[in-house]
Amino acid sequence: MRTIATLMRYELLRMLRTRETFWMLIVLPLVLIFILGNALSGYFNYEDQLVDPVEVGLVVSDESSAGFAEPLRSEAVARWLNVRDYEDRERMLKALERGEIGYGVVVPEHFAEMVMNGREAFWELHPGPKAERNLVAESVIGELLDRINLAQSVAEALGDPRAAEAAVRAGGAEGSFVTVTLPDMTGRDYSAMQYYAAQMLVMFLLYAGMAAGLSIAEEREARTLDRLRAAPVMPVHVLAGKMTGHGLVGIGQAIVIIAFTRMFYGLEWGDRYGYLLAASLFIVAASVSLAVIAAALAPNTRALQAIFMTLILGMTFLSGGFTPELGEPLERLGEFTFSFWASQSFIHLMLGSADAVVREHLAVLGSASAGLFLIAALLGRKAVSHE
Amino acid sequence: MSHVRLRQVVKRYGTKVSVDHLTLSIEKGEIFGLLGPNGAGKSTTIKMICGLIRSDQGEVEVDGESVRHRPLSVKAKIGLVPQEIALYEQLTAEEHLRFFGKLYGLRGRRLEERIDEALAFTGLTGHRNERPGSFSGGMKRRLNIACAIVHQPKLIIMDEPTVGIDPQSRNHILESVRELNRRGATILYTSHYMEEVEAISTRVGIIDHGRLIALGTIRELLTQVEEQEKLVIETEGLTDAAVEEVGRHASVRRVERRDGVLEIWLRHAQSYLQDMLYILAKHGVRIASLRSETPNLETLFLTLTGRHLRD
Repeated sequence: MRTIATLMRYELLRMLRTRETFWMLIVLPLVLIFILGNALSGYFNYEDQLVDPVEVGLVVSDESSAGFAEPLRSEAVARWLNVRDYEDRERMLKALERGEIGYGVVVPEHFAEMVMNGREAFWELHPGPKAERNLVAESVIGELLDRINLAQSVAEALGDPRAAEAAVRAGGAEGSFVTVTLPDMTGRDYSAMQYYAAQMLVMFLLYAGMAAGLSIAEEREARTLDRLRAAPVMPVHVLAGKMTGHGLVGIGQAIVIIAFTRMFYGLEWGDRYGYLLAASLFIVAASVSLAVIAAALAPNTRALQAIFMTLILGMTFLSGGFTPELGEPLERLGEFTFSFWASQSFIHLMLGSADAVVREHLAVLGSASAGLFLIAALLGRKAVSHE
Repeated sequence: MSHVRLRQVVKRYGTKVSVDHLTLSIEKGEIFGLLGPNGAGKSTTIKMICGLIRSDQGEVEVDGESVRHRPLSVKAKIGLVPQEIALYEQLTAEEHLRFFGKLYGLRGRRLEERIDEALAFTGLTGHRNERPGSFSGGMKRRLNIACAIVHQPKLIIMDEPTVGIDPQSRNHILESVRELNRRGATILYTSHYMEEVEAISTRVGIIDHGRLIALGTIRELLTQVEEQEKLVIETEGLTDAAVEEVGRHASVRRVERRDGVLEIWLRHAQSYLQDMLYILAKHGVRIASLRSETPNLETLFLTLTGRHLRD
């Protein structure tokens, strides 16, 4: 253990004194998360694009219909619409002309009565001059009208006209109006920044492993590895010292990236730190195992770098790490990559998915890591001796 | 008593035989020079002694212990100075020694003392906190040696430790080798510079194509080629009578005359030089130039293989 600790300590010392390590493993991922998260937010929800909610003028022509419009004032909708009440249609239209509001809605007289009696009813919608804002307002209001139609059907089925209004009110409190989600997700949405933070963290944790592989190959070429092997040290100790050193750097890297993006980019990673640590550990274990395998197979540093870069960039691409919309065949292929399960684990943790879903992803990740570790153990001697 | 013993050792790389049934014994306390051209099998032999590679056949022992069966115990007794400068750019001289000292099990005050001693021995005390990047080639070579001796091994193996350095650093290293030997270490020194091997070795082995082709003290080896010692004299007015009288001298083995150049093969040329000059003067022959060709290990290698050491 003392020998491994010595090898690990000096491996860490050498890494920390290499300026490229800091730039490559910490600064670059943070910059990429920022750039990709902002530049490619079009793939994701409106939260990334809109700064201000649309100002919507609302006219409720009779008090009995007010309950149906109430969901427009709910907390969930407040992200998209800011409702202003007007006494009558004319005043609201003038405000729309003056640009005080971006969209207008009139709930006509007897709307509630018509809905509860199962008759056809309409809202008057008045678009404003900006198409993008109209689109947002119509998406939200259209969703609410769909819900009213559904509630009307429920009320008819139950034979209780008042149930329609109750159903619309209940749905409005919790309902999600505009979302972008991956299949089998919780229904919560995530931002481009979160998506790329997960992807980049996985990619750069894999790069931490590449550093371990390069360290072995470089020592082999510089003959310092011969010097280590000439000392009374078993090859497995040399490997263990290197893997532990680079593993610790990987874990440190994960902690710094998660903490930094949470503090300065305001990213939500969830509060299940044990799972976050487990996911990071599995990725780091897999990456250093890959490093040993690559070091055993690659004849020199350049070959090792080429193998690793191809593997990491290929897996990251297929798992949607550079662009989330790859099309069916590539996305299916991506599900067979380590990066996919690793990034999905982080995304599920960000979304607050159920423990069972997270554990399922971690189990896949852990199994893959264990498999790679076993192969690395078998090829370890070859990586160090390379006779 | 043998410190290192190799018995019928064979090492192959694919179809190429790098070491071919090598049998060799290095005695405790000697400086053993292993001489041979590049690719002769010197480094492979060293790697097998240090446990870096395994022999395909035969047995390698250090201090009576098998390298194959007790590799860690054997490695702890050896200090290897590799041919390449095997140093870490990110570590200072002192950190190098602390790192390798710890790998050899040194701790605490003993480790600190050994670090100081190794730095002082190699003349690097004033550079202990500097990294190799700021060192000259000679200083790097010395740090390369310091890393190998920090644990004060009884067997020090030096694989071409003077490659690519200036004469001053070379002399410093050769003197260090003698000093380490005076302090009780057995030295195995490989080189393709025969002058170095001749200068420091008590015994020499010459290896070629993985085979040991000559073994013994310098004196023993040179007796094999002593008949090749000769004087080459460029003359004016050389006569047949002068050549005949030179040929009759007791120390002379053979005389050849090419125009005015006289080649005389004789024993102990330095001792009988005066005699030769006296005979030529007596016959009125004038000397234009004179040189003595003394056989050395290069001559021996040429005689044995038909090639030069540095071919």
